[in-house]
Amino acid sequence: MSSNGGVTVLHVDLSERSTYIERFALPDVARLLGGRGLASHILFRDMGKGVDPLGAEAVLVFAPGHLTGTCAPTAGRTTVVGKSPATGLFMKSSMGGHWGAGLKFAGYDILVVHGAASQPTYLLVTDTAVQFGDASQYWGLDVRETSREMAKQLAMPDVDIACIGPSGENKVKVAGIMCTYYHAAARGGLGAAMGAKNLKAIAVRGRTPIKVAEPGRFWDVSEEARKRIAATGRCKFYGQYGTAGVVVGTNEMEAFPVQNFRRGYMENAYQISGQCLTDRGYLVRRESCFACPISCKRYSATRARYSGSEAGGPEYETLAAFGAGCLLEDMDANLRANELCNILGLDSISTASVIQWAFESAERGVVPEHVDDGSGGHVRLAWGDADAVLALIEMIAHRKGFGDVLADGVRSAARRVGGDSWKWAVEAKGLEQSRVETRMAKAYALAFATNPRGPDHLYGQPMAEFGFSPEARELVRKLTGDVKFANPVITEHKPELVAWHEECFAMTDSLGLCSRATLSTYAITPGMMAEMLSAATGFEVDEQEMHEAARRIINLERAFNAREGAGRKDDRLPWRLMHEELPNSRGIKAVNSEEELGAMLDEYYDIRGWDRETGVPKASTLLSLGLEEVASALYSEPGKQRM
Amino acid sequence: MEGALVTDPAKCTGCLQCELACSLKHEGQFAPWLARVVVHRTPETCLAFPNVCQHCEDPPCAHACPVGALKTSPGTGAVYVDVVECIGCRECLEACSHGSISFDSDKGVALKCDLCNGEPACVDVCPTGAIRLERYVARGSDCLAGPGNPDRRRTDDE
Ligand code: SF4
Repeated sequence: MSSNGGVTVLHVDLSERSTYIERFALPDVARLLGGRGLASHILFRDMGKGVDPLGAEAVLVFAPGHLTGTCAPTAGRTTVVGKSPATGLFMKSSMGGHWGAGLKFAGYDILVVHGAASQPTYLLVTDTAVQFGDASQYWGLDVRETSREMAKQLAMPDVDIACIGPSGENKVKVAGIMCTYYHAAARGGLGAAMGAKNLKAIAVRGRTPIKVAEPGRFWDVSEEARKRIAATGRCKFYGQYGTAGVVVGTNEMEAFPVQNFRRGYMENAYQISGQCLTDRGYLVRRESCFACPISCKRYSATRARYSGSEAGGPEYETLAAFGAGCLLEDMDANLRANELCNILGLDSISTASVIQWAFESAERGVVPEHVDDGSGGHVRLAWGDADAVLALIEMIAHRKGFGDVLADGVRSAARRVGGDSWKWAVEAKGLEQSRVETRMAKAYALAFATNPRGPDHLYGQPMAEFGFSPEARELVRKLTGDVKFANPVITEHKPELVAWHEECFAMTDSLGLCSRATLSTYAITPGMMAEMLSAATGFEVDEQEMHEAARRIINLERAFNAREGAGRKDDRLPWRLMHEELPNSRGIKAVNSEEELGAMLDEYYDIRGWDRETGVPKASTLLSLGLEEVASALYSEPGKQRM
Repeated sequence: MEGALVTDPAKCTGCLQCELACSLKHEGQFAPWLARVVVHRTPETCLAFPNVCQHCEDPPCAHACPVGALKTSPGTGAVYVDVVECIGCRECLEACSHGSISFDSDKGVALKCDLCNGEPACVDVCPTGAIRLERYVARGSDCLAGPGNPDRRRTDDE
């Protein structure tokens, strides 16, 4: 945040090796909340329809939150916004760590990367200069080596680095962007977009202080937030066991995606849980992202096998995707898989998804049991085979042998292999579903279907529907009038729940806070976020205005996809989840049927002011939010007006 | 009401809340490099621990200071820098074997903990108890402040 509360955007053009500064004044911040909101505005404006996400014209926006760099608890996060090489649609992917604060202390709020470099390049952004460096010495190095070597070469021990691993260099569409060693903006293949620009790394460091408008008031609301976090049981739980602490409970609800979503329960879930990690000595220490008092981040090491393997994590998603999804019931093997994904720069969800799809395809005879490993040997595709999983991870990152088929994601792999294999390609919009069993959780089903980035949990995260905690039940009561709607397998009132969660998420990302504080634990409320933003900027924003700004952001992002031709037809869930029932012992008919999803979509579009038939924001909706430029981009052709 | 800051390095998660609180309280802005408490982080292994001044009874920094700018507060026992008198010679940084004094090269003065008049902000915000304030029962010579690291002493032009 600039000292006047506004935003300073650094635009970098890699083709021209030039930079320019753009500023947004306070009213623009209030309209779009800074961070992700402004990033989506810039993306919509600067990256028109039909641009190749791997081309030089693609735009990649790195947006720490508006409060990143301050003491607002958990406000250290950065959202990366771009067009996904995996889906061809809008993508926002968020990372923790310390990189965002580093960019802020270098004096910039948002970094926009345009163009493509002709040679491997890194950027060094400090408060005295922006440098384009030669990255050929780092090309081919993994994330850990790159981060370590660059800090050494630059002689800056406290530099923070966001970079890609070999997977991003190879334009693997399940490659993410990593920062502070083990923090990932994993989803949607934005690592490939960075690799396509020949941009290996962005190093940030600075000594520009951040001032808030009303320090006393800002301190008070930060203190309130800290106290809420300290008093919230779910926050303590995540601090104690990490995100993987929820493995056991999810399994007990029979909502744990096992073996490529064929089952919802496995016998030995404890062995891949956060409790096992903690109690059996795999956990080396806990770590925090910048300004985070929750510290759900782990640093873990193997014990029995794969000795010497250490890395940040693993998270719930990684253990669920490898451990349950690929039937890898061995913590040591999971830790090695996690380390490989981290250092090769891969999205562990999507990587494990394509691997389990390959196992199932071999089982069903659509691909051979033995596939070429690209190094003169072969890999046997068999459920639970740790050696195969670990070999495939490396093959994907380097596009070696059969790994090249998997490297573009599961939708592309199914198209290449053919047969019925698309039926067990658990994706929608081209993104592999994250590890939520949406057949057992209907708000999640709707949130996954409408998510502009594809079926995953980090756009709306309607965890309140499970009613896990007093805070969650209270929220459901407030939004629906009755706590009985905190029931995951019913559909009533779910569209309202999803709309609220998406809006809360947009505020969270834009301010740079963590959904672990605002959504899954509900420790920090939208009212507190409004108070934080007001105290920081001196521009009064209330809770209602926060929601309105969040709706503006959601409409902008939806409009980006609409401009690309996406709409209701794309708001779907993976075929398996819509057509195959999940076996369970509770007698629940667990499927995301067309009818069920369709009815929720109608209601949701009505809430959003989007056309029921097309799923596109109505012109009147866009105009009422003051998004004239977006309305004219979508409705400039004659006869398209839908007021 | 004399006391000392005690650290438990194994508990530290590197959240930097302490540095942020310290810099807001003393500098009125978020500038963690100007904090009086210094968290040493090694992100590759996610290692972090805080370094705080132990407010020695017989402070080597005060002996080293040629102008007597390091003083002991009678109320809290805190050894603090009188910034009006500090000439920025950095002798105290060298003298502190614990590495607990930093330097503000903009203002040209030494930076060190003053115990916030007995209510240290870092203790207030630390979520893990990695920094605590222990009141003295009887003041001794034992180092209570956990491991120091003079090689990693931070000056802001580093
Ligand atoms: S506030 Fe506590 S846990 Fe956080 S960095 Fe400081 S000493 Fe470590």
